[in-house]
Amino acid sequence: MSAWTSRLPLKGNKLIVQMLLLFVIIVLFSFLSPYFLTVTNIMNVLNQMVEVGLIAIPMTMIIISGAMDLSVGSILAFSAVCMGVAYERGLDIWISVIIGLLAGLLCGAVNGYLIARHRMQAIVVTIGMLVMLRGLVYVINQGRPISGFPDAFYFMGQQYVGGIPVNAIFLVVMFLLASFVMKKTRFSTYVYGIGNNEEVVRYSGISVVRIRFILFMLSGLFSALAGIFLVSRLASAEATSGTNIELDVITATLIGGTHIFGGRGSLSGTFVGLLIIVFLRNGLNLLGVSVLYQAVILGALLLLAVGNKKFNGE
Amino acid sequence: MKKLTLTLLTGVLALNLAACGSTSGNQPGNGGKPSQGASGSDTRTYFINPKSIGPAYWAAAEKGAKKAAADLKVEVLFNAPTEADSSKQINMIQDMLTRKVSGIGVSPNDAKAVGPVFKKAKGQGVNIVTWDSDAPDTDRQYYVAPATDQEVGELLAKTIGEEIGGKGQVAFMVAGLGSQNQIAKSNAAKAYFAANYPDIEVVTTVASDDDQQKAYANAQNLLQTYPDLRGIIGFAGGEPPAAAEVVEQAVKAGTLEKNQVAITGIAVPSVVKNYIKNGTIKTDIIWDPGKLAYVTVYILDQLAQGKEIKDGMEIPTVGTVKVDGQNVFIGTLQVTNENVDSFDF
Repeated sequence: MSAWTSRLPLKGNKLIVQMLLLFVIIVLFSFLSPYFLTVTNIMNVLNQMVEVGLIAIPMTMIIISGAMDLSVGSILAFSAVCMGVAYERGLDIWISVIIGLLAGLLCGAVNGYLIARHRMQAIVVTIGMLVMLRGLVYVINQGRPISGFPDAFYFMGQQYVGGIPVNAIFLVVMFLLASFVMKKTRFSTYVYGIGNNEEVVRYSGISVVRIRFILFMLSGLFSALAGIFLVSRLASAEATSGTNIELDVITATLIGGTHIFGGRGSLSGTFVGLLIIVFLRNGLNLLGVSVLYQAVILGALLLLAVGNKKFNGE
Repeated sequence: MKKLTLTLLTGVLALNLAACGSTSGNQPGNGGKPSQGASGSDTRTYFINPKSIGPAYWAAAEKGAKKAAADLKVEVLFNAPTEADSSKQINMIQDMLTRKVSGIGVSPNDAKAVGPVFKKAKGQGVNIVTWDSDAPDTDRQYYVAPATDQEVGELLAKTIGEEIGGKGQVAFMVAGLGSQNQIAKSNAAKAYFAANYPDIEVVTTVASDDDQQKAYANAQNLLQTYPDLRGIIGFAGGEPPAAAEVVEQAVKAGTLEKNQVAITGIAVPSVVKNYIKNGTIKTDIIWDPGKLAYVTVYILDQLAQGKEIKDGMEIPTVGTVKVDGQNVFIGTLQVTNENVDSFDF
């Protein structure tokens, strides 16, 4: 049981490495590009990181619990398209949003039911959902993008309050809330516990099934939220949205120091990991570096983060 | 102590990586204008944004854009996501707006989704020109295209209609079902069949999402599903070669008779050269993507200097272009067995 109480000093140290890396990236790019450290650019980056960031919250929890959810990108598109279709059929936009969220929650519940209740492999189940939902998305909207939403809806993704994008404020609030949950509640103890030693948690009389189910439901819900923010930002719900987003999300989580086998990790780490990848990508874009090199650099960074953990972790 | 070393190492490595990245990114710019080493603030910079990076079609466009950069003595950044993804593309355009480029040429993956970012660009005084694929109803100033989607779609329908004698099943292969230019072209082809070849039935439309492997699998499925298929139209660069390859293999394997399935479409000549020589593809429709990109840079440069875009204006290395309202047309080319060797792209 004491396995996860010892994570505290460890996590502290690791976060310093990540913060330093972020700092180096920011300093470096502000020297290389005069546009990097401007208010517009930073707000721009904040605006772009929201979808990945929202999904990274439950993903961090799920990875801490020793599982993984690869279906998030497809859930995102499924929810977005469900919302779009509902709106096209003449429903009120906010009711459509709720339908989108429910669609995501439902997908999460299916994942959770199969993984928690029937003890199926999380990776296999979510790959199945990834493929199936993406197919469903094409079936539902015939592959055509849905647009023409009312202006009130674009408020979420395109407007600014006090110079800060609305969606970025929402993301930060969500991170703070989730971080509180993962630090102060019994729920978090169970999540870390399942990641470290599922059997012990089970024999302590705690329903592992319920915790896992809740985690995948959360993942579905947050993916749906990300989908809705994406549609609001881009003004269009399309079948390809969210493709490969799981890679970005998992990269951010892992760079943020969460252990792929579970048991260790933190949301603050994920947030820093997220900032690292978005600022890196933005900086390279500003310099006009081809995406082909960007992929190489991002991959190398991930290897570095993982290597660093091995060095530092045990 | 260990940790300190590690931290330092991480920082230094990141520095190295970024430094490598930046030099490789600057090279093309420097090559374009050897007189100025670093990008001075007085040079006009344009961001040319295709749908994705990788396909031969966009590689040919990149050559044209770079040539325009050298000819006009401007800097051109040619970049896009590795997959045809609308949100990544828009992120990239936003990043370029903060870099304060003088103009942006976009081939949008989603005509509607680029609306807000184009509006923002207009607010900042950055000129936007769409090329290859349009985004009507946005703040883009011009659309650079080979011909109207209507004309191209009709030409493709006419070609295949003549080849198969105006009767039978035809399948459409498109890059993306959501892409404006693909929808417009395939709709025009359908309308042309309905008006001129009522005996031609369009059995299905399959999409590859610009993925070569998927296009190949789609073509295989078409032959399996529709044994009576007479023709395939490929509406984007990757589709006709995939269809031709699959048909040739089926002919070799004896499951399909030669010339049973006629293929036409839009493809870069170098990619379909062998299929044209083998007779698997009789006619291929193309325009020079390099010239398309060249004209895009040229138009952006004219706009940045406040010059007028006129019908019939002469563009160096491209020739005269037709300007109709906000559309700039450079014209199409027909590739056949006779002229296939004369193309250098």
